Amino acid sequence: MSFLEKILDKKLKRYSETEKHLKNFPLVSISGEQSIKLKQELMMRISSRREIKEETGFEKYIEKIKILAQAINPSEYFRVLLKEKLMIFAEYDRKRKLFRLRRVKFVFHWMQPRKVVAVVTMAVFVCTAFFGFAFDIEEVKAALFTELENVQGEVTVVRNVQEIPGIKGLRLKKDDVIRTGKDSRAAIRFLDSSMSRLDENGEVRISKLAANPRNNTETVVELVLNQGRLWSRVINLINKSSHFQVKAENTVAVVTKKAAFDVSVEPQGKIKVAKVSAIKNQVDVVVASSRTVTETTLIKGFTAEVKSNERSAVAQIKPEKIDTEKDTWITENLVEDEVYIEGVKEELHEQVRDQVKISPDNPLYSVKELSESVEIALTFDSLEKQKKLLIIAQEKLAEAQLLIEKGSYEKAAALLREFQDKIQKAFEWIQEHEEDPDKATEIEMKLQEILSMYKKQLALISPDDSLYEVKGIVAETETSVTPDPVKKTEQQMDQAAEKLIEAHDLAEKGEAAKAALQVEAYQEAVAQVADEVKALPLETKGEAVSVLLDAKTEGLKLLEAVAVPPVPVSEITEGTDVGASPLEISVSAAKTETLKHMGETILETQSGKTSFNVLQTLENINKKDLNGKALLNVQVSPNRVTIVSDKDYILVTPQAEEMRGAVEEQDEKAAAGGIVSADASENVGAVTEENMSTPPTADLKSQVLPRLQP
Amino acid sequence: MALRNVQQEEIERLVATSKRGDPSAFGKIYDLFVNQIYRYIYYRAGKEEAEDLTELVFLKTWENIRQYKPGKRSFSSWIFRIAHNVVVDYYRSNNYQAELHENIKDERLEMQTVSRAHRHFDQTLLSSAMRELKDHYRQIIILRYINELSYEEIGYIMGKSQAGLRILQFRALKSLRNILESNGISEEDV
Repeated sequence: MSFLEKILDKKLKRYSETEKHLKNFPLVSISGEQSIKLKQELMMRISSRREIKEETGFEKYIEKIKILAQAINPSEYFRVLLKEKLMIFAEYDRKRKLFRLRRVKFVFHWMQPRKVVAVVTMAVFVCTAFFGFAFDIEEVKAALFTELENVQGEVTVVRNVQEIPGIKGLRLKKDDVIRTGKDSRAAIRFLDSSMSRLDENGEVRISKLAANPRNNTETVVELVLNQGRLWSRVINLINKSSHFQVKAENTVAVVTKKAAFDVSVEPQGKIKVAKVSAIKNQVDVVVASSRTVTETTLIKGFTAEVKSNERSAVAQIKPEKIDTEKDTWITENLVEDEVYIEGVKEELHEQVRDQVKISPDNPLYSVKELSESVEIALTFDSLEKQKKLLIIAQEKLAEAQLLIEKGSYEKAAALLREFQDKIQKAFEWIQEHEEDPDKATEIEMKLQEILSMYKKQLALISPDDSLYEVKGIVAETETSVTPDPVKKTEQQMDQAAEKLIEAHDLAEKGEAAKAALQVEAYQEAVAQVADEVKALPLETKGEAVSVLLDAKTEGLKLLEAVAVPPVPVSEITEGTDVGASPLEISVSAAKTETLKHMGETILETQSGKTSFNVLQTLENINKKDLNGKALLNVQVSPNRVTIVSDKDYILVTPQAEEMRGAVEEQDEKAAAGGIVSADASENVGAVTEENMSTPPTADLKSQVLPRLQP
Repeated sequence: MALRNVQQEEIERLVATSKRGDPSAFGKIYDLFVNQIYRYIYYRAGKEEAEDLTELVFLKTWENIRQYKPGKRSFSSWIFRIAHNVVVDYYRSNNYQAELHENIKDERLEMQTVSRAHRHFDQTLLSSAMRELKDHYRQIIILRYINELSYEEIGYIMGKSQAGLRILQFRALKSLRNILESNGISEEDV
């Protein structure tokens, strides 16, 4: 080996040690996953650069297309509704699979030491395997739709300029136009269970159809009558946010609860005449001209005609009484309505029966209850648990209804208590979870949905129906889970008003005595609400009083609509009693009480100054119209309240409390005899403009004047 | 692009959770895609059917979500593929194209009566012009410029190569421009 080679060899030996170390040194490299990710990112960057550079020569068009397309989005209503549907579908799907899985896990866990429990549990699961469809806790929701319920003759539906033959069962959509030919009619059933019938040579457009996807008892139906005659029957709207409306020219007729009304549009030369007639209950009518808007409420038996031409609309409402019996269109529709309502009641019964998977009197019912308890126990998420408990509560109510129909009142009462108990617990859960608003809101909305659904179903139940008690329970439950005192006042007054609607329906059937009882029930309910409002703290009292006053004003309108059919002149003989019937006396007393309460309520809130809410409400009350005339005129001054209503004149002062006993006695005598007593008549005067402008005399200052007889 | 990557990861995570049967994860997927799917169907099948077909797409997506395999293709392309199939089924069952042509004639006649001064490239004109396009031209424009999908994704949905898509895209835009010009809308008016 040469000298050079020896030196190289020596150096190589030194490096070989280093080489060994290097070989043993752990290699630093990226993992397979990291490598793939890096590659993807690189590829994306490369392609994005290529895309940015890409020029099509149509950049302006592309930009515009992007901008225009951004405006195309599904409606909020559709988005929410579809999501709800998908969630229910997915949840149902999930439960079916999960329940089977949990069954297997549960059985194996409990097998060895607890054989008895295992056997029982196995028995439950075996039953559920066979009857799984019956024991699943799932919701049943009715579908909402609008369709042609019936057709007669030539009926066409125009949809997006295309004409479709109008056949029975055809589902209708927003913006559809329904046309009837000669001797033809079309009956339309709406998503809120209302019904309209279009007479021959008519045309009506559906301008709005909407339902709140979270609570489908909140509905809006709006129609535009272009020509012809349209009968409408609204049977069970229950929320303030729901309404049914028919527009004819510049006139709009709106119903927010229950009513039967007729709208027509007829050309008379160059002028078109729109006519609205209230046949049952009441209809709000609004007429707009280029300069003014006129509003009134028509009660049954009154019609208003409005004339308009192309240049201007004559916004005048001249209500007149109509003889409903002479108009065959009205009488025929009333008869058909009765058939329709019976059909709807039967459908609702079916829905209730569908909700009941196993009847309480079935031997397997206890197994079903056990299965439900097990499912609840296995649900660890508190929100999911609460949802299931609410579904069970819903089922209890349906089961109670079924039992009542079968005559098992005691068992039904127990189920109703369970229903109330579960609802109350849900309410408490909401209060406990206030710090988690998402969850609390979800359960609250579910709760309101259930109560509203039953309220709507039971709106058709009259006091002589066996299910009337259930209606009362639902109403009571609704107010018990309303923490806000103002909202509670609103609900209670709404429930009270429902009694007047029931009274109206009973009177229509000829059951005047029962109708009178309902009017008295209304008075009691209102008195109770008034007492509760008095006890409220100052910060909420003003608003509650406004709600109360507003509701009482609406109550006065409803009282006008409650009337016994008059005795025809031809039937009056010597012995015919044409004096005041018990119903008339009840209605009269209720009106007086309402006006007195209104006056006292206003005085109560004064305490030096009237709250802004109350002032605002009084201003609105003074604008309210009934059959084209002012409903009330309320004048407030520091020490008295004067209310004038048609021929009634009520004066309330702080001293009136002491005088109440005496005046009430006089009132009773006056009401019983149907005439004003001699003593009281000294203090009673006809309401003239002179009277109203002159201040009351010293004698009258501290008196509540009894009601004038016509 | 980085934002899109983040979104892709989030989507894949939600899909994985949905596959295990979690409805709320699927609800989030719905929220992410509903507008895009709706727009796709709106321009391909029309306003009237957009809601019904959108519903069908999501139902089918839920039913088949277990069959989706991540990594092979993006979830966007998979769901749009479902949407494409739903629209094709709709065309077949409703003789859609035949009805369309009759409507188009009426709309073109209507547009000709409007003076040039009042015409501008708005939603109505875009919808009408899109309907006049051949279906695959319409589809590439919708997927590329309205739904903003990548060529790879579009390639999977339409069953075409990326090179083929570029040619198709060019022809589609040219055709759209011609339709708009025949309706009195020039590039200056856009």
